[in-house]
Amino acid sequence: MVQNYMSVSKVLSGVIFGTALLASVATTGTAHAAVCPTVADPQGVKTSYPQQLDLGDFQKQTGQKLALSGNPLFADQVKSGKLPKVDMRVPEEALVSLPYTECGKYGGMLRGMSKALESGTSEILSWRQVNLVRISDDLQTLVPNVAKSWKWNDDFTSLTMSLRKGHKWSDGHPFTADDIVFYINDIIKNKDLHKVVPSVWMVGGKSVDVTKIDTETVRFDFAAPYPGLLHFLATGGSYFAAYAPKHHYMPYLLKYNPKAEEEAKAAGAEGWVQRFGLIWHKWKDAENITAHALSRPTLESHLIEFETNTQRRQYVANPYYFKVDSSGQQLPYIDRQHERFLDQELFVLSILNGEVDVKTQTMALNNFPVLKEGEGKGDYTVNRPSGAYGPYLVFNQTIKDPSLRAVYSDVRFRKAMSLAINRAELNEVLWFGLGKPEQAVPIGVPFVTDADRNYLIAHDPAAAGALLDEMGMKMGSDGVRTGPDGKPFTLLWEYTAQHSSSEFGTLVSSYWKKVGINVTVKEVTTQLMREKAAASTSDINMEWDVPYEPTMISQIDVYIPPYSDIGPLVGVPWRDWVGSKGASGEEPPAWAKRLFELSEVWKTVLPGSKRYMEIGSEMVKINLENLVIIGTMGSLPRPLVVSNKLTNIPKGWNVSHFNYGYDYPYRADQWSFK
Amino acid sequence: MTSPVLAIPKLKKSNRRPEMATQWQLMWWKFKKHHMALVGMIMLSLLVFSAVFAEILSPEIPTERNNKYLASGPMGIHFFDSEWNFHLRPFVYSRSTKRDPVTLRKIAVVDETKLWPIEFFVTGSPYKFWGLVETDIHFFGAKGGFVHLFGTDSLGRDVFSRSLYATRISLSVGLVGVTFAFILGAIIGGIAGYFGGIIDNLIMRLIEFIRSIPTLPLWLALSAALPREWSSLQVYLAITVILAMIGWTHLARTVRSKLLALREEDFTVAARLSGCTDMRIILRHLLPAFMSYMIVDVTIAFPEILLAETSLSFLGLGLREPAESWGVLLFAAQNVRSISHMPWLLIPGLFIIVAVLAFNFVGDGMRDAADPYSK
Repeated sequence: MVQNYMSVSKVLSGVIFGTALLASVATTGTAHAAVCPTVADPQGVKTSYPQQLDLGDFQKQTGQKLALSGNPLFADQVKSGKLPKVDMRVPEEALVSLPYTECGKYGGMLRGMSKALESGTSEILSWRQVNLVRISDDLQTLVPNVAKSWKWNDDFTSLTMSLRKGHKWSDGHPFTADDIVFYINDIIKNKDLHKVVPSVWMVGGKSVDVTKIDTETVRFDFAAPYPGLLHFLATGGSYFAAYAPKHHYMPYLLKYNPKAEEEAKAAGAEGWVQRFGLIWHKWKDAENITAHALSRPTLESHLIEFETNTQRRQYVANPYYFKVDSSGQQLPYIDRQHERFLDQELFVLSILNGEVDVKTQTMALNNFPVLKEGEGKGDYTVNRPSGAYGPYLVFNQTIKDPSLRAVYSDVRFRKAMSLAINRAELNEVLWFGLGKPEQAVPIGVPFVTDADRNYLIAHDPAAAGALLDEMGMKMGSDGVRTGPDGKPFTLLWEYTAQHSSSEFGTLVSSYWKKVGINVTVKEVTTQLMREKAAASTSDINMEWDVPYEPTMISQIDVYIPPYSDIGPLVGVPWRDWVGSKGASGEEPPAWAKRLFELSEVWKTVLPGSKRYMEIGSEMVKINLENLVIIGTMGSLPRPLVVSNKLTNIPKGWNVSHFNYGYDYPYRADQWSFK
Repeated sequence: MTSPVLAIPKLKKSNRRPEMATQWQLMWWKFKKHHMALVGMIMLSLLVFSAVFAEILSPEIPTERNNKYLASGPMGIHFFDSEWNFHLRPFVYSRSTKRDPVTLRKIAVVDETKLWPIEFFVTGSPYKFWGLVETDIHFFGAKGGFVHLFGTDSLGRDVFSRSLYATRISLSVGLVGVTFAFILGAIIGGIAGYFGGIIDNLIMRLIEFIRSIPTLPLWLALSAALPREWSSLQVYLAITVILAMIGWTHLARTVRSKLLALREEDFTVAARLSGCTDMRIILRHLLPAFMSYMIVDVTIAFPEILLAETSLSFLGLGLREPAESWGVLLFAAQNVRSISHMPWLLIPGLFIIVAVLAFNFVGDGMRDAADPYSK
């Protein structure tokens, strides 16, 4: 985004303190740091993957051994012998990460904020999380991360992964293929811990098989082709680690420790299963709630420093982190990360006061003017990367009430409701005209056409009225339509602040009222909404995470009924029918059946292949023709606040989305304070 | 009743004939001497007037959106233009909005060359007056443009019009709530005080029980128990009843203690001996004996109920959008964005302050006036 470019560079050149500080770094800092290869100036260093390469490759290209140096934070511990020297901590096959603009200097505390211990914390997790592979900042290319390299067999049924020689957990214990085998066999496939193997590790009806080949090599075998796995690990799965420290968790498993049950009870848990659930969680933030996190090793860039409480959580740099910069300094540069838990209303105030270094998650666009005007005082820059979509409206075709169901399951009604919405006005009134009106379709996939995006998004109340007339919803003298059965019809639209604003509800319901639909809008809690959605008693559901290409490859569930696990949109009884092979639930209509069929094949086709395109466009067609999900905006920006004190922030940071792990593609481990 | 002749207050104005005045006249004279109470009375009358005629007085209907003037500030009414020419007909300057290209903030642009004269009894959006008469006459409006005395909210709705409609709902919540509380309090307190004994005991324990329940959690629970399908109006009625069900206890206690004393008086005994029914004794002989006290109690209960409704709506539990009440309007203003960029959204808060103060002043004046023989 050119705009981002300009504003960032303007701030960079404009801040006198910043330049003065840079100059002082150049004079007092190490000489090689000033001239090290960066993304902006690679100095002839060629990378096989964007912005990174292996240490061996780097040394071969420069023709000399890279002298490693570590964070002075650990100097005392090294001196006293508590920690080995940096050469012994960094893997022999370390990853060289080219900083964006300069080799940074150590120190500082990166401050962020979340809503609560387990609410809105993903962005902070994305600052330190690592996984086997990562997605680069072009949001397309998969790059090695914890894994050194990988190789698929020809039909994508077998994946061989190589790890880094000498890679260590944060407690100094070697990280090996055993840790991956342990994760799959003893956690994922452990029937006591997971009653059903999570769908990520199930293909073709069978769970994954994992084999250790040697200390640094591991092979995954699948019953059917599974080309989407790496995309999942790099995007939607970036919040989970596909490995676990075997040496640490073994004593808690009954299989390895016959006394695990008694020990768990002695520690106050119901049993070993419950105790394990408290200390291990696939969502890595959830592990950092109890004091146990202090002893649990990790591969992440930062480790928990103090016991977490309801006000804050703090992390300190991992002395065994596996990445170095191009001058041989071990990453991360920033000593500490601090996460505060705040009421969402206080986010803006906190940013205005300059108390936050990076924030984008859960920031509403309508706060942009306030944030922009406060840039000088808070010493930050606010930009608008794309990152939000919708809101989406889904009429519950499987609602329990039969007369409501008759209306909502009629596609003419859904079409009329889409046509009644004035998207241009919504965009102007609610989103500063920055949105792009669009029907609900997956984002950034090659098989969606402009005709799909523009399907029934024109504001046409007359056509909407005609469709409703055709349905037999007669307009009364008071301007309110009856149901097709001639009885009064009321649409109860319950929404939660998480998925809509009261302004959106007011505006859209006023459009629907104009075509004669009697709408009552109510705000309810997210918890209640999800319960009602799961029980099929809500009229409208809105909790849809629009699929992006990388997430769609591996998580097609978001594009077939019920479209969401946490807050189902429509068709819970249909899924039950399919899952139980007709024993329970309700028989889905033909189109839904077809979607279920297609989703089974989808997982096994190669992204970009002809079959992939065929299946993809058929799914889009089915979803659009039935207008299951009514879209409003195809793309909306989200405020991104970055402190002016930070450097190595990419200029092309123009997407900030949950599916990509918020800040994850932009490598927080090489951010540095000026 | 006590004889007025024995305790004639010394009034300065000679043209007054206190000895000839009725009880109500004496009270009015006394009340008038309380200036704050008089001001409060005038403010209240204005509020009630605007609540009653909200539809006519407001230039727009509250759900109407002005897309040409979103999230923009109050428009001042002028008599003098930018060149100091006097206009007999007041006017507002023509306005439009533009978007700041950097901050994206809506900025109102005032065009001082173009005047929109204020006209009275203009035609505007149609509405049903009191839900009965369909008409489109509004008390005032700007010819050729629009007038937003208190600015607009982020959807372009007129804050002035919404405030007037909110006044109607909030005041009537108070009125209905207080009336309910008054009737319940007088009857239940009356029964307890008049009959005494076991009935009194039971009722007093019930009151103590109700008063011991912390109010906020109680409101939370009750409003959560309201069916979700209810329309705003139904919720509103339910909330007034809920407020009243808590509000009656205070009055009931007072009535009871007064009655306990009065039922031993000679005139009560005389009435009983004359064969009056219990109900007649309570209603005809006992209650009027301290009616003035009850009026005061009611005026003081008003602000309590007003604030309760406001805080419930403010917490998002009472009335909800698109209904208008002071609490609902303030609820929409409780964020940094509104406070820093749209401070006019806080104007409904002034209505609350004015109303609560006015009720308190009037109550204060009434307390003095209720006993016109005191000095």
